[in-house]
Amino acid sequence: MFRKTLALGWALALAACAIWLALRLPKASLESSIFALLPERAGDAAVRSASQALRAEAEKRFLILFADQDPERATRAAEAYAARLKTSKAVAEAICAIPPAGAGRMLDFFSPHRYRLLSAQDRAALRQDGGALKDMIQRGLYLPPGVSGGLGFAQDPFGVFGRWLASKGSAAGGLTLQDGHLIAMVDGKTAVAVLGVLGPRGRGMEAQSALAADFAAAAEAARKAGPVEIIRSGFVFHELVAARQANREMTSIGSVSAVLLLILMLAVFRGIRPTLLGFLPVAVGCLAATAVLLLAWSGKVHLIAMVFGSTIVGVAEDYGMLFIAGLYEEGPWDPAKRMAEVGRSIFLGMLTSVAGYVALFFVPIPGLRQIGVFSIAGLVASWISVALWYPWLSKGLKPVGPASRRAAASLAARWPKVSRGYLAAATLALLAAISLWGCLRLSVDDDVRLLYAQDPVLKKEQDRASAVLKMPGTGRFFLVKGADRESILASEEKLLDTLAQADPAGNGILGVTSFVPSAARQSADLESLRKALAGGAAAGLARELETPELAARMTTALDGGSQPLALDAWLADPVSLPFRQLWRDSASVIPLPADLALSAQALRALAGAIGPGVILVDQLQDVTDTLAFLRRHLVWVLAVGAGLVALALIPMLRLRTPAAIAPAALGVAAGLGALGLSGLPLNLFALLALALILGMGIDYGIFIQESRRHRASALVAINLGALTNMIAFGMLAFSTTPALQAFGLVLGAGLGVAWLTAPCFSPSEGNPHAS
Amino acid sequence: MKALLLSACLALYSLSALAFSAPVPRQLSTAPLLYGLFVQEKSIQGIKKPLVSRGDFLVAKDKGVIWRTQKPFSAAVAVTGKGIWAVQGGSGTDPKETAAAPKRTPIHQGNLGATMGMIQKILAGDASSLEKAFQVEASGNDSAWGLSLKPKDAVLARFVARVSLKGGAHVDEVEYLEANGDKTHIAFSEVIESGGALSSWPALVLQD
Repeated sequence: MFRKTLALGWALALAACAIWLALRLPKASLESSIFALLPERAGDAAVRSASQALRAEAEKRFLILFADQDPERATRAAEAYAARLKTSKAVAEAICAIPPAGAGRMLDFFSPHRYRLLSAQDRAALRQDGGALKDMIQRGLYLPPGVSGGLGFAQDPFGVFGRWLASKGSAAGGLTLQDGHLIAMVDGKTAVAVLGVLGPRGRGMEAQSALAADFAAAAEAARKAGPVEIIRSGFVFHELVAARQANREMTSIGSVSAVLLLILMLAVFRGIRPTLLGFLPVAVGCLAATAVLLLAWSGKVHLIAMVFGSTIVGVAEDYGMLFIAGLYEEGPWDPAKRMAEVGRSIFLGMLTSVAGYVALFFVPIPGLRQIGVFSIAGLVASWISVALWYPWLSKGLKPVGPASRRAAASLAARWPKVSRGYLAAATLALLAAISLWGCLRLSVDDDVRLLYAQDPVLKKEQDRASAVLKMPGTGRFFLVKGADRESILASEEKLLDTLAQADPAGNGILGVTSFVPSAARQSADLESLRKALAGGAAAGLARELETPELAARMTTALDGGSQPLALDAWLADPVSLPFRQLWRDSASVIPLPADLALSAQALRALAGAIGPGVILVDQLQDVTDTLAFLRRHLVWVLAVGAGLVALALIPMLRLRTPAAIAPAALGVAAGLGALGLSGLPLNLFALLALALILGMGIDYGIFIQESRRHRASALVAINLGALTNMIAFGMLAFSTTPALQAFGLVLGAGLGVAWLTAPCFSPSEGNPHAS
Repeated sequence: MKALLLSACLALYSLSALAFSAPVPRQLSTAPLLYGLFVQEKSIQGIKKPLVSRGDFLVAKDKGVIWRTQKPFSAAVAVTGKGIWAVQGGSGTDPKETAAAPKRTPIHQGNLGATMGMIQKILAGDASSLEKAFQVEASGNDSAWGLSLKPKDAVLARFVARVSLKGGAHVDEVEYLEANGDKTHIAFSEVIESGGALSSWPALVLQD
């Protein structure tokens, strides 16, 4: 028999899926990086590459401050922490003590090129007046030892190298080297820094919890050394917290929903088999959807997509529920007859839901597309399972007892109906009015940060660290491109000079030219020194310092530090290690500090004045803009989708189409109204909840409209499905992620209204069946 | 670069902070303001003429240090929690000129808060941080003592060979021997301790 073969084939396919998943899933990298949710910047490959590199760099590094009144205790704590952290497999480096050789490296590397490197002040002074050199040297000589830079007259007779090195002091980001430790002051306490770099690691759940455990153990080791304050800063801490939360929420939402479903089903059907048949579509759907997702994204699956996706696939329980609810019908249980009765409803319900989620495909956010794929694959697989298996699987079930049947029938009979009187209609009108009032109070917020929950403790620590360390802000940077290296470096120099003039915070901004100036600037700097020397500085100094041979010696010294410095040499040397992300695929990258007061507009104008190769990239703002853009468009996508669903329903339901759609429409209005009344902002995610309400609300409408002769069982199915779904989705309102909260609230309110109002639109008993 | 900074700071506090205090074991001055005169003589490798300069200095406990050269030319340097600055204008270059606001140009920018904290600790009599960075040898008694500091840190040793101090009630002399052979001798005189507030010019110079 053909259907039997199909059912068997489907079972074999799913078994294969399960085996494949069992082998593949442990190796899959579950993405929990918030950035991975976001769309890649389209178009510009250089921008994309720079964004990724900066992001990867930022995600890799972390810094922890150990602050205490007693510097000794802070140092002990930092050392204990670093020592423990070094044992972690996922941590490549945890640096507390700076080796002396490392600190002297910069001096050794730049020394042969030292007279091609001038600090901005020396450059300005020398360009203005060649005679300034004599003064500069003389003043330097009379300074107390060390203050001028401490290289000494023999090594650096002009003093310019010492000043150039000193002008790179801000590269240390507010940290000072002291006794081999990096030190900062935090509220009068001495804070010792531990710098960390993460190594290559698995993104999977296990790797993450192992890393989290390592961090916790290190903190414990530090606390043993003394009750110091620990200030963490770094992407990895946010990531670990977010992953833990998502994991916890997924588990709690999933298990609570499963337990409730079990209790409800057992209570309603009084048997294990019908209960299992209620679960089965969801289980099969999740299994198939996970496999499809892993295949489609070759193992790089986002955790949030799984959370959302599995919740959405929970809708599939409606299909099994409607079928099994036939046990509440009069007469003996006949699976084939039941399928004939409700097969069309189930198919229509699946079709309309899928139509709703297809819209997600057109949203160019990887995380959302994954949700879309997961949901559609899951729903289709659930429907196939119900359609193919249930006529066999449900053979021999016993109908519920006459008392239960009577209770269900009486509930169906007593449910208020619009067609039966004005009271129900008036109530619905009032509900609609309240919803509309709430809609009028809706506010909109597309801030991408709503996408992830910020742990308040962590955020406070991060803010404190940022204030002390002057770390570059997240995601805002200039990209400088050009025909060749020299022109890129020249443009970058212009940009850095302009930034330093335009904003007090612009002084500390670093680019590759902070270390390797353009060839033109290097020659010009050397030339201005040479000119000043020949122009009388050397002779004047020799005379004043009563050392005649000084003039010749200074010229020789100049030649000793005049080798051109090439970008490649710097990039190849360990001295550039902390700064290599500033040069990316033949383009220069300039991260901007968070305290830069210049607006994006001012920055763009500034870049435009230098040349077309200078581009401002603002990742967070770009994504927020994209979300706003998508939200505006998704409203239309939803409206069009709803229209198409209605059009598809008309040939099937004819005049009853408005009644099938009304619950969904009321639900959408109620969801939006609840959001407006709660004060939570409308964003893309709230709209996605609306898409769900639309899909499910129409399911309920269809089930009711198609159930003229078996209204009681349809109502049982709807009650059960809506209740469990509402509890599962309502749980999202308790999520710590603001976006999920809004999602949960909209769904809870909207689905509740769609569910309770759907039976009010029951066609009256007396009319002949339309189909 | 950090090594340079470190040597700069250590130089400054060994010069100025210790200049007004007795050696390590004794309870040192905790006065908010210390003021005095200096004569600095530098002999630099390759330069025959000894470089002699005179001027005054000010240590403000929670603010920083001003080192003001008056002869052979006027120049002032300030060290605060946020960096080392060259100071022009105001009283920095001309003691008679008081109205003009000083202009500060950074020589080194960066957080020196920790260093300032160390200076304060040494002023308060806690020399443990000094002993961490240097091998300390003390000699003499309270009324005539000597102190010799040799850097323990390898990077610091690239710049500083030895710092020697001599004094009685206050530090009278500092000799700073650099690794490259340059030598600086500083003599202090007329050191005054004061509990008063900073006057307007130093307050502006040391503002962070």
